[in-house]
Order: sequence, then structure tokens, then C-alpha cells
Amino acid sequence: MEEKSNDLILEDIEDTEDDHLDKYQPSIFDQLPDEILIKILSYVSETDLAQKICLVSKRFYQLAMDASLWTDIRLPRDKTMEFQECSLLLSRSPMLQKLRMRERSDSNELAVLALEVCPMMRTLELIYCSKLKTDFFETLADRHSCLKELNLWGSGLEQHHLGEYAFSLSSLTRINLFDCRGVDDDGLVELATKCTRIQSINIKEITQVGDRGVEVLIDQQKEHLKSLELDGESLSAQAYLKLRLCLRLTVLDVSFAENMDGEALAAVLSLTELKVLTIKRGKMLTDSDFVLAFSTGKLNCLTSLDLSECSGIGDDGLISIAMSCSKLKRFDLNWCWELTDRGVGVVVERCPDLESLGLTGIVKLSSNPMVPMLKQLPNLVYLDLQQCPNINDDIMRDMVRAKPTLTVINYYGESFVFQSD
Amino acid sequence: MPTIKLQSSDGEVFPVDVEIAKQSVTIKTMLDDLGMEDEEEEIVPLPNVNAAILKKVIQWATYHKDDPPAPEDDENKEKRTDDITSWDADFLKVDQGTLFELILASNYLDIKGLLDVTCKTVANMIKGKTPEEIRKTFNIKNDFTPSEEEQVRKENEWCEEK
Repeated sequence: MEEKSNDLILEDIEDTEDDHLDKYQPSIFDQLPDEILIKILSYVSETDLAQKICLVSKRFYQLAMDASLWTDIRLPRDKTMEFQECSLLLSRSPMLQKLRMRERSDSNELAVLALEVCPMMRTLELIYCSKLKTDFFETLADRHSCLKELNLWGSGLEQHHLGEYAFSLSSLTRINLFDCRGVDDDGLVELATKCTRIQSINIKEITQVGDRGVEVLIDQQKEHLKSLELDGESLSAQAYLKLRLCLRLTVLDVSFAENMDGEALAAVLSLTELKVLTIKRGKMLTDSDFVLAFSTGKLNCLTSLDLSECSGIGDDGLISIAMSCSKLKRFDLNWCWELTDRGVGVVVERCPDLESLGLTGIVKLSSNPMVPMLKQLPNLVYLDLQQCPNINDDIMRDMVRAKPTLTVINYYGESFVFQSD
Repeated sequence: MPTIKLQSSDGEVFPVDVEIAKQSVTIKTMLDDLGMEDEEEEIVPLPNVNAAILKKVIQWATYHKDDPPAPEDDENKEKRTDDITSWDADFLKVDQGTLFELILASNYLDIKGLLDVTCKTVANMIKGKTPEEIRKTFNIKNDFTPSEEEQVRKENEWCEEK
């Protein structure tokens, strides 16, 4: 589409060039009423409205400032835009639905202001910002806001806030607390019991969350949860068994799954709706655990699977996976060093939709499974072969030459891409 | 299938299946309100649409006759313009004048699908251009004084790339 519209424009420029200098002809836009021009501008990003559209003409300036167009604002870091300017912008954006900022020390004040002046705000994203303060939660409670999504990635809050004010967050359906200081088991329990419908939650990199928080979360929200991202470090094998109850789960991401055992894996694989599954560092899992779990599991919907550092998996386990998950588009097996050509060969044969394949550190792998990839995997665009000592660069060079859309990463992490001669 | 006759501003008459014509909410309302449905010979005058544009609109509506009804504008709609089908893209490979007349016609006839896709096409012609390129493309006069222009530039220099 992009190219086509460009052609059109080039012609138009040529046509009008001479007239443009000689005399002023009315613009075709003059015939369009404001409401249509605003509709056209509703497909243009806020950044373009501010930096380009505003400067075209007085009419464009006036229309670009229409509040209905300012629904999604991303504030720059402290130094580029002072608090005063940010607050002016928020005040003239009463229809704002999405406010995002990162690395700002005045994030709490701006978030409070936004809650006050933007009643339609549904998404608030504060990434690596300063801690939320009490007035944020008080304002949220006062305003009966319709906030649905709160992302506090790398920011934080005081421990007592979740205890006292979790009720003010009850409308949230998507919560991201990645690396969020001040969250612990008690806080998670409060959140899980006060929120009416959590569809998506990320509680990774929070060391104070363990079995109790996760079990209450699952008990309370099992009918709603569609996406759950957590760390397994402080979870026992028992906690994973509860996952069986989350029948609507489509995304499950467990890093540091060190305590996951065969029974827990089988519980996870009973979730037939799963589309995206990550189990990293499942060091207790053996090859026969994978054989057993995947030969009975029915993960027909699975399109993305990451088993990096599940170093116990062998060729038989991998073959079971390849036989039951034929729709995989993305498959990561980094540092699964027991695997050999036999297992990887079956993946190439049975998963024809693969677009991305991560095979870092599979030291026994040779170049034998590489050649059939070109034919068997027509959609493959990314192949990671870092730390695979037996595959030389010549083969990779041949592969990208035969398939110009493919990027291959070699032993040293350098990428091979197609270069025309 | 019953047909109705649509008459363009320049007097040309186009017989069209009623179901195809009803993608225009304006025509649908007219038929419903006036109970014109069964009267074969009735001619619906469309004084705001000329024959060339009406022909294009009918062509579009015929191709899209089996489309599911367009969803209401979602509160959370993304500012996407990369979802134009290749048929529509080809259909809209027309000169600027025709494109703008199609916008006006689909607005007057209230055909949401056609209005959406034509507006997206114009948005695509705006995206990625500097203010001066936009002015040239659409023959727009810069009516800012240099100091006004500087003022607007200052007001908005905060904006970060997404």
C-alpha cells in the first residue's frame, strides 16, 4: 500500500509544481468539511500531528489541536519536557485514553493530573519511573476511573499501598508489575481479591512473591486469566499444579522454572487454549517428562514455544513436541545441549510454519538439518546458531543467498543477511 | 433480486440491486422511510454525486456486497492504515480529484466502509512527509507568518518519536 500511495503522490507533485510557483490554486482540501479532515487526521499519530500537521497551515493547525485526535500520548523524559509543559498538554487533551511515560521523576504528579483531567483514560504506563504515592491511589479511588490497564514496569509503590488501596485498582484488567519494588505476597493477594477481572498480569522479577500469592491469584482469577507471566524461583512444584484451573490461559511465561517437575509440566500442558508458552530453566525436567507430557497434551493452538535452558530435554522429548505442535511459528531451544540432529531434523520436518528458530548452544548440532530448512520452512526469517561449533559460516552464507529474507546468527553472534552483488 | 434506479447529478440513471444500494445508509433510510422498496420504476435522485463517481461507488459497493457490517468505531481503535485490502488499494489508484470526490460521495451517501478506506488512503499520503511536502502534495497555501510558524514549532518541539 505504502508504495502505491507514493506513486500517486509523486505524479501529483509533478503535475502541480509549475502552477504552485506561478499562482495559487485552491487546494482539494478546501472542499472537505472539517469533520472529514478530522477523520483523516484520526489515522495520523500524535507525534506527526504535533511535528508536521500543525505546521502545514492555520486550518491544519486548528484541526490538529482537536481534542478528539489526542487519545494516545507518550511523554518524553524529564529533561526534554518540563512538568509545566506536560501538564498543559494533558489539560488540553480531555479525551486522552492512553498515557505513557518513562524515566520521569514527576510521574506520580502527572499521573494524578491525568486522572483528574482525562476521564476517559484507560491505559497508564509508567516505565522506570519514580514510585507512585498515596495521592495517586486516593485520586483513583475518588474518580471512579475506568482505568483498565496499569503498567508499572520497573517503577514501584509503597508496600502498604496495595494493602490499603487495592480496591481503587479493582477496574483493572491488565496489570504489569515487572521488577516493581514494593510488591509482595500480601500485596498480590489484595490485588487478586479486590480486582474483579484480571485478564493479564506480569509479576516477574519480584522476589517477594511466592506460592501463597500465586495460589490466591489463580483461585480468584482463574476464570478470567488469559495471560500470566511470572518467575518460578520462589514457587514450589505444587503451585504449578493449580495452573490446571486457568482454562482460558493463552499466554503462560515462566522464567526460572527450576522447581517444575514432570507432574507440573503435565498440568501446564492440559491448558489446551495456550498459544504462547515459555518455560525457561526447567532444570528438573527430564527427557521422559517431555515425552510423557507432550504425547498426551493437546496443544493444537500453540504458535510460540520457548524451552530455553531446559537442559534435560533430549531428542525423544523434542520429537514428541514436534509431533503434537505442528503450528509453531516461533521455537526456542537455546542451551538445550542434549539435542542432536535427529530431534532438530524432526522439528524441521513437522513444523512447516516456523518463522523463528533459536538453537543457541546446541553443541552437538551439525549442518545436516540446515539444508532441508530452506525447502521445508518457507517462512523462516530468523535462525540463531550462536555457540554451535560444528556449523560453519559457509553454509550460513549459502542459506541467506538462497533465501534473501532469512537472517542467520553465527557462532560469534554475528548476523548473516543477504547482500546483493 | 429487486433493483432500484439511481440518478446522478448529471442525469445518468444506474439500475442497482437494492441490497447493494442499501450499503448506503442514506439510500437505505430513504427507501425505508418512503416505502419505495416495491416500486420498481421509482428513480432515486442523488444531486450531490456525478455519474463518473456514482459508477465508482456502485463498483465498490458491488464488490463489497457480502461484507459483514462494519464494526462500530472502537474506543480503543489503533491508528492503523496498513489494513487496506489489495482490491481496495487498486480501486483507489485514482487521481487526487477523484479520491476526494469519492470521500465526499461516501460521506453524503453514508457508506462507512468506503469513507474509512478513502480517508485512510489520504492519511497514507500525509504520513512520513514534511509540512512543506504536505503543502506541495495537496496544493495548500502556508498562511502562517514566519513568527507564527516559529511559535507553533516551539509549542510542539517536545514530541518524542514513537
